[in-house]
Amino acid sequence: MSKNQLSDEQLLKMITGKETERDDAMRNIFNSQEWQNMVKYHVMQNRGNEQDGEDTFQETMIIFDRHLRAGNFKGGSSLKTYFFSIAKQYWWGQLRKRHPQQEFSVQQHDTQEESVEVQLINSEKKNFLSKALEQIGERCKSILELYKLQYSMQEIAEQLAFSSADMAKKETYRCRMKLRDFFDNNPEWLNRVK
Amino acid sequence: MNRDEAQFDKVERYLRGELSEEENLAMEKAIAEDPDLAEELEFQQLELDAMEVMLENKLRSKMESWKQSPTAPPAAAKRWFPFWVWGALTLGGVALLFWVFPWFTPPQPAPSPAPPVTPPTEVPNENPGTQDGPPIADGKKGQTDPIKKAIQIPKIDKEALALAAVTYDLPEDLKGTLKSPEEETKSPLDPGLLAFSAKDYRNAILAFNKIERSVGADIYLRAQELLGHAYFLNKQYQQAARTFSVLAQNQDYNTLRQDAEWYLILALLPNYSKNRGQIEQRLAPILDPANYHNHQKQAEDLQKALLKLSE
Repeated sequence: MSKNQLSDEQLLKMITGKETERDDAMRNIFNSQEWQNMVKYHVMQNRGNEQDGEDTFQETMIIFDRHLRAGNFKGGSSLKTYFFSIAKQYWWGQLRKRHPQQEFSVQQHDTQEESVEVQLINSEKKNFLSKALEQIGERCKSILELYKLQYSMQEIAEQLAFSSADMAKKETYRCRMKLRDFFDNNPEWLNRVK
Repeated sequence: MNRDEAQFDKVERYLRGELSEEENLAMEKAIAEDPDLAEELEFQQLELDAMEVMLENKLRSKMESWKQSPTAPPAAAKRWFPFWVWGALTLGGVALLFWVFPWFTPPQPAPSPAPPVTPPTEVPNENPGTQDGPPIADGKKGQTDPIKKAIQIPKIDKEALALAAVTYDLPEDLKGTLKSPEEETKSPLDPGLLAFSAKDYRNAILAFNKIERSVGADIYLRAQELLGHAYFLNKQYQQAARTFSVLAQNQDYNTLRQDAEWYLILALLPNYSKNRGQIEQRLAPILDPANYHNHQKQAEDLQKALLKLSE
């Protein structure tokens, strides 16, 4: 990243931090020609076209964000290398899907790479989960979003104007129950997402 | 479902990897022995997956908007490019155009300062039967106009444009005289709604473009929806596609998203030769009965018409 050079430590702190900081960090990466070109070049060198490169870059952003939030990055490489590892894994997965008869092996970029498991939630499940989430209302969605971003109950209370952390916890629980009730009442949906 | 809050917390900590090694082992043993606990675990995992999908959708939507304004500084949603700069750029562009092509006649001067609303040159003419190109004045007769030559429209695009025009129908709530959501009150949407109702799409575009996110999500999204339609009706299909494409990423409002997915396809149609792959890709989920898409029937009709077009 040439502009606004952020160190790995700063990026990591921002991505796992508050929402505005996360946005800044993710946008910084998204706009980085260096990171983009690294992924696109790899894809285009390995039977993909430019569009595949762009798609892979965006999917990598999603997986990278999830891994960092989940604490999967252990600091065994630079974030850029880690990002590239995810991109490669993802692209090889795509190649395997497109050409199931052929064998592919992931070439290691360098020895410092961390092993990255690229697990994706399948698109049908995503679709149904998204629709289920629409049933719980905007307020609940905001609460659960902050909860998933590891905001403390006190922080959720402050952000969403609850009287106390305890109240925020109760509301979080209630919102999850709302989602669960929806699945309880729609077992055919539950079967689709399980 | 009988749920115990303490158990809920413990399962949550297990799923988040916050238990000690000893607690982890105990939990795994308990899960293996207790089907209710196993079911509870499955549900809580599902809830966390749903939250993950929510974050993913949000990030996708943001990436889409970052694509539209890649140079804006981070976290500067409210720091829009000042209007006077747009004005200066527009004036500069027009001056340059007159200097390069002294015979150029602008289609209709837009009030300044203005966001870029000039119709894109690659958009085919509305009437597919005529041979008129986009609004660029003719040079001397007998000479081949290099610009005109460069923007020749493939026949299939003209047919697809006609198809888009026939298929397009304003959503019911946008037909007739439009009013702001709060009757008897002033809304930032009012100037745009007034222009839109009067079919003055150019000024509607200007008005809706001025509405920023800071006014609140509901009004902003409504403005963007109207902006997409105003672009479409003003034959600025590329801008319409861009606007609907962002709205189609919105996971918060199902109807809005589904409408945007449908109108995005219509906005891509006039450039069918180039957008064919994308149109087919975007039609597929709408056609899938499992998705219960609001525009499934229209999509089926469109698909049939497109098949005929390709024959």
